[in-house]
Amino acid sequence: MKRLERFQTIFLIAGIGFFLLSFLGMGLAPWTTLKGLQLPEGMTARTPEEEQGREIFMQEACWHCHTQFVRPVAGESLRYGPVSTAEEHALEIPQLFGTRRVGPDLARESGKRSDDWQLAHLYNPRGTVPWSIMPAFPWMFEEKDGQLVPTDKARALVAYIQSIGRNTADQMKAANDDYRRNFVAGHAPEKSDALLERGHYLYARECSGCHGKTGNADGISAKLLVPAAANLTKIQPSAEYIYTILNTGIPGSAMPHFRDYKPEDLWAISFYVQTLSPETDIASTGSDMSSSLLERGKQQFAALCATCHGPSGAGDGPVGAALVPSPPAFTKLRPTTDHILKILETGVPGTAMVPFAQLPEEDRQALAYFVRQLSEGKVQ
Amino acid sequence: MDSDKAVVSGPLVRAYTYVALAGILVPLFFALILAAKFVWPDFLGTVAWLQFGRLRVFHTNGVIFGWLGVSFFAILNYVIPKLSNRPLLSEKLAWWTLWVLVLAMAVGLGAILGGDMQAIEYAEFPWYGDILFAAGFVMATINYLGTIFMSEEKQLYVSSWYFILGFAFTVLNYVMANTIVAYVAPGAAGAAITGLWIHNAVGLFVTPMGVGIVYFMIPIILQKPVYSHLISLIGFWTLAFFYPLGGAHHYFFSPIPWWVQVLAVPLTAVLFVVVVSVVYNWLMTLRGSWGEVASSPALTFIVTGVFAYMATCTQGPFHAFLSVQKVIHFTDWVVAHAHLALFGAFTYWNIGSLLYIWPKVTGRELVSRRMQWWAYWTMTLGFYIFYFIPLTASGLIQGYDWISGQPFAESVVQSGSFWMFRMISGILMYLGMVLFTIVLIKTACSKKGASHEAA
Repeated sequence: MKRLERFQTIFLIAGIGFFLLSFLGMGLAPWTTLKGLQLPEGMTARTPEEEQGREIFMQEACWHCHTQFVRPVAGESLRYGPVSTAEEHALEIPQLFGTRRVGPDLARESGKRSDDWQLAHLYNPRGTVPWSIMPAFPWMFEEKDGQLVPTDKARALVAYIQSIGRNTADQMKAANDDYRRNFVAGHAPEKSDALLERGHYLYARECSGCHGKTGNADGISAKLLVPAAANLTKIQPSAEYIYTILNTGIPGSAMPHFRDYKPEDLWAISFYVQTLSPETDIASTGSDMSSSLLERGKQQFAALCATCHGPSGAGDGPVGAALVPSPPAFTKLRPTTDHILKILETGVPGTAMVPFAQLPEEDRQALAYFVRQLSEGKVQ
Repeated sequence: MDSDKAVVSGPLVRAYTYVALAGILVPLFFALILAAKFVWPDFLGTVAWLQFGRLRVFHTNGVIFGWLGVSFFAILNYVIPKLSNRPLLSEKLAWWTLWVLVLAMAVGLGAILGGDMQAIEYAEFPWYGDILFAAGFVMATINYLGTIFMSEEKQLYVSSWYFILGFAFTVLNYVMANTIVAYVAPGAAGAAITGLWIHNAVGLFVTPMGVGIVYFMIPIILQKPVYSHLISLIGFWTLAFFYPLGGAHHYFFSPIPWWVQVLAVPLTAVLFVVVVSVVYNWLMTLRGSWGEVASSPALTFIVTGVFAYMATCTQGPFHAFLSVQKVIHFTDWVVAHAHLALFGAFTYWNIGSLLYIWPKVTGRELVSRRMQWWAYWTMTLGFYIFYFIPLTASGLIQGYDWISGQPFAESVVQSGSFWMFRMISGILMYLGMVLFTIVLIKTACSKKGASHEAA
């Protein structure tokens, strides 16, 4: 009878039995209730490229720092977007919910940022987000004829990232557009040294990746962003203009919005950005001024520029209103003459701004002179 | 338990121990690089196989399987023959098991560094690594359970209950994760089952092995019986029944059906009974013997681990409350909690146990008690002062930063100095582990002294 006293079989049965109990009760039972889930509208099956991107996402263990579900608590729907549902994940094998969030959740990433932002971020995250501690993936890019080119791997990964939660992308874009259209800057706080210092700190932390430490857009990401980041040493913007862009972002470009920052912080950045362009008055155009030059510029502007930039230069021309990214408002910034001349010569790749190199030199000078007048009295 | 028969194979225990030491020193070294990358993200940033994600997965899998798994087996190669009063079912099988496990580690961890892995936490080995590891694990299971089942001893000691439960459960759990989760169960259903796997890899493998070993070590080192058989029974059966059911708590507030999440709250909270009963049993056994604990590095490691076990298993049920979960989930708090369990408790138990076993399997007295104490204090101060406390704090900061609606950047920027502390802790913990390794190796190489028993 001594074998009986050991009861060893009971423990073996316990091991197998309790496993089965947990699997049936807490695994199979919920699975059964989830059977037959329909994908929500807009959540199409992944393309082969997106599927390849998901493989890379798994193999580089991206999911260990980026979760993929928005919880109904802790204000997450304000930060990320609509709360995740079981339907949305009905095709995910294996699921990638994740358990740690070193970086932001990606469940609503689709359409949130432009492809070039995603690529530049992948190449070196500090190039777009200076405070980021995400690993860089330079081996997913190659040099070709002096150009930095993403490999198929990088493109597939970005395609996958842009597909995560695409069923809500339109809804989130519409909400964002509404916000942008209805945005009113409100009153700026009093400019102070403390505010400028805070602005400097935040500029270095949030903006310097793309716009460069000094504002001349020579950051790590410069090789990958199309359109390029604005050269902030050349535009002399009004604080309100910068503040508005920080709140709304520039759709169609890599410029995201930063409206999770307090208004005071965004004003601080705006004031600091103003200090990056050297102050030039209208007179210092580097060319002869005359009323005929001004008149010539005005005519050229009306003929060539106004459909997009608007008759008064406010960026509200009949064609301009439909453009993405929308054209800049010359009423709120005063680009330097050399900057305007350069853009007239090269255009702005990635936008509707085409080169006007065929224009006679004198017309271009006249345009530059005129455009600088548009902001008169408004830039401080 | 005592016998004059030589039932333990010294070379076998030693070989498993050496593999386990590699299993901690390599993943821990990579952990140092990981800690540095948190502070300097571009450190070694152009080398694909040193990418943060790959190293992180190498670290977790290496430590769980290569260190904890193999060192458990090293200790079981001593404990199970002793408890069963007979040699292992097959020593040859045990050697083969070791080689298969070494191959599984090399292939699985190599694949991870090469960028081929599954997206299942703690089961990232690709399918070919899974098959090798599963083969090794099944071989070990047959050998250890076979030994227990072939024993002529009249009674089955509480340690063996845990070993039988843990092996039977884990074979099935491992197969479930690498088949059903990897290839079949989608989305929220997959998450519910992943939760079971993650939870039970810790609760029904690491825990029963460790608890079984401590139930052996404390009485045998102190030469006195366990305090209460009844409490042993309560602790064991509460663990066996309730622990496997709480897996969904790893995905609270996720799209898993709400009733599963709601059930997981009490099913997790009840685990407080397990830790209270088991630790009470051990502490009552230790009562009156604290002098012996203080004078023995082996016992000090084990008892420090007991307190860490008590702390981490008290945290667990508390985490299951949704109001707590809302704050700490996804943060460093959980990372600190996991390390309190796997480093503070189980690693300490295994170090203490190996320090006790080593003289018996080498036939030599341990060298340098001083170095053992240095190992203890560098690891202990390094872990608690520079790891556990800072990461618990940064976890709270991250959680409340997010709730307060601040920009995400704040949670990263404000964690920076805490991550710096973690780097220091890593250096100290690594130093302690190296000292421990030196003690074992120097002992094995020392001149033969007093032999405790034929190996």
